[in-house]
Amino acid sequence: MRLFRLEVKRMLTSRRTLVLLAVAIFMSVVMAYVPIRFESINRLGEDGNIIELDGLPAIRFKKDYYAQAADSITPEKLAQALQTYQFYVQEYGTINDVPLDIYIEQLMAIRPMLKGLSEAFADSQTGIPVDLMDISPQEVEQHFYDKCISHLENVMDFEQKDNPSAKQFATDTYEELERPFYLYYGISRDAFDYITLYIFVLSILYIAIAAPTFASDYQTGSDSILRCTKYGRMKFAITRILAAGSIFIVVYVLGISIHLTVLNLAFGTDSLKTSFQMLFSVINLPNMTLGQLQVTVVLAGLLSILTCTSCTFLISAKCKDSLTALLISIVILFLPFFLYGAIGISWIWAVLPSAGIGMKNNFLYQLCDFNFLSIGTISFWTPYVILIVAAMEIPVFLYLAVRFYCKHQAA
Amino acid sequence: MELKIEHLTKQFKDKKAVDDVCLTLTTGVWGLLGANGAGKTTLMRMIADIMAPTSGTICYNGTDIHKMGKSYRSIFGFLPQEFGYPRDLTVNNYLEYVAALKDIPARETAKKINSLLDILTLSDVKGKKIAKLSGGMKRRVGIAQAMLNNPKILVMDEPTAGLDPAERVRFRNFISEFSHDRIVLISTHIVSDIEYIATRNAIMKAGKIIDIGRTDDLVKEINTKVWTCTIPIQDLDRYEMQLRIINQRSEGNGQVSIRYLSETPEIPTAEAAQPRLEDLYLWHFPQEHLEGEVK
Repeated sequence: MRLFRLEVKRMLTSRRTLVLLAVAIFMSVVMAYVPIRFESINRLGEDGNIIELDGLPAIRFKKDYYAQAADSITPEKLAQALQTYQFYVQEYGTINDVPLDIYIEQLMAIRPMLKGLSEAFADSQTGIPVDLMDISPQEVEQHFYDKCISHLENVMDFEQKDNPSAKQFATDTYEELERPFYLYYGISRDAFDYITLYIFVLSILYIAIAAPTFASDYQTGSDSILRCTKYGRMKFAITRILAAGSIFIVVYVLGISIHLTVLNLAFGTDSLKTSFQMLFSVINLPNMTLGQLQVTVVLAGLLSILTCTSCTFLISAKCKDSLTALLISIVILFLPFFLYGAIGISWIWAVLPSAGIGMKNNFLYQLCDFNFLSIGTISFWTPYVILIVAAMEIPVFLYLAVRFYCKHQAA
Repeated sequence: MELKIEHLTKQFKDKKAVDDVCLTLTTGVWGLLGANGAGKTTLMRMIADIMAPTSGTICYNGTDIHKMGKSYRSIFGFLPQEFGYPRDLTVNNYLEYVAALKDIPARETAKKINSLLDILTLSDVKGKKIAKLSGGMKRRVGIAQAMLNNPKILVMDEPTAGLDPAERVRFRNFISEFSHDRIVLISTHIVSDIEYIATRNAIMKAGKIIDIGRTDDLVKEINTKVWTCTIPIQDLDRYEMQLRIINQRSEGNGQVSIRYLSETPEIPTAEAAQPRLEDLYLWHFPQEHLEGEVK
């Protein structure tokens, strides 16, 4: 414990580490503010002029406005909303021709509810979403959730035609979703994108802190002194990793807490009760609310970050200088992003420690997608693969990091 | 107490840095002498168990040091040639950190650190970052960390590099006192530093130990090979071509006193001089003299 305390103290006296950790906390606020700033809405002023609201005033207006529309998405309510929509569009020609005052009063509140309809009633052959005017409210009332299932089956037939087990998994999972979906308009997709982006930024900062863990001592020669001490081998390596890991977890919890607090204070916590499918796609598989999604993304992010930093410890224990360790670690961090773009979903991508961190390949996007990896006839949904592989890799990387450190020879 | 090195070899790709070294270190101060590239640092690293030998063993009281692991390291202190340290730590924080790694009880740590800092005249800079200290001070911090655990085996590679003459004297006295019932191995180019305190010396050349013994015994080998004489200054160039002059001092009146190494007197007026360890070193490493590295 004494060694652990001194190791934490050593790390926190490093100006470089302190600056990087301060950046991590600072970015939590900045990156929470950006999606708030993105929010905007037009409304009519008292004099009939259009007033454009941005940022917090826009969110405040939306919260008040949409509160009345918050409800469970039963097929009856959907059908009713569709009827209202079709009535006004028929009257004015297109949705864009509806006068703003009528749009705000009659249609704006039901638009988020109708978002999934076009998708659920998409053409079974082409998958192209259907115009809301071409959907029968009666059919919505009778078959909305069945239509969601058949659209999911169509998508799976199209995307996973050689993978019957994937289709089976998707339909089975979807069948278990809690229905009717619930909608309380509020937190945006941008906000979720920025949570994952913040996790990505944290992983870069953590890698920068973790890269010199052992390599720096090799480089300066202080390793020759430390490894000659009684606890200078395994205990030292484990303590150093534990101290860095503890600091990373504490800063992660602090940074993410600040980030989510800012987001949830701005967007309101009521919207966290919304079903996953109401913000993303009606045929998405996760059986969770947006609040649960936040927790899931944060925990998955922590797991992925710990995997990346474990891999960085391993690289640091193997490299002779900090810069090389940093460069290799950064390449590994970015590799899934490029691999995902170049060859799509593959096991190579999935086994990389940072598979769940990044842009298009990140864990959140995998939850929203229908990507599967197969071994023989068994298919695995990529979010599960990311989590399982990450959980398996952490002990392996840490074991190897300690082993490589202990086996290191003075140069 | 003994540290027995048997047939120790370290082969790098194309070079044998240490070549079948056999040496038994007993209590007292040992001087390890050798030119650059002689293999001293490699040998010390293997004794510190931070470099694996290609073949051979090092045993402490009959047990392989590598197998002893923690128990060997708990009685061992090491100062490498390049003293690396964490840039942001103060002297005190660094020594506390090393003390924890050496398993020195927390209640004894402050006392031990203060005592070492006093001896090494570092008390005033206790709260300063090591990175901000002068070269000599950094070296003394390195010496302090090596001695924190009162090691039974203390290995120091060039400990006096960067120390001023007064600091070197203090260091020599300190080591002399410290070395009772301990094995202290010091490698240095500054031959005079170990000449006074080393009970035994080992001389390394091209990876091999070419000579071992007490300073008095070793210098006997060159008893009739060190000469002094006074010559006219105009003859100096000629003698420099002919002889291995290791020292010269102007005597005024166009005369210069020289000290040189030679099997025979060569100059009729030359007188045999009392050999010193430095003379022996230069006898074995004439190149060192040419490079002017011996102080």
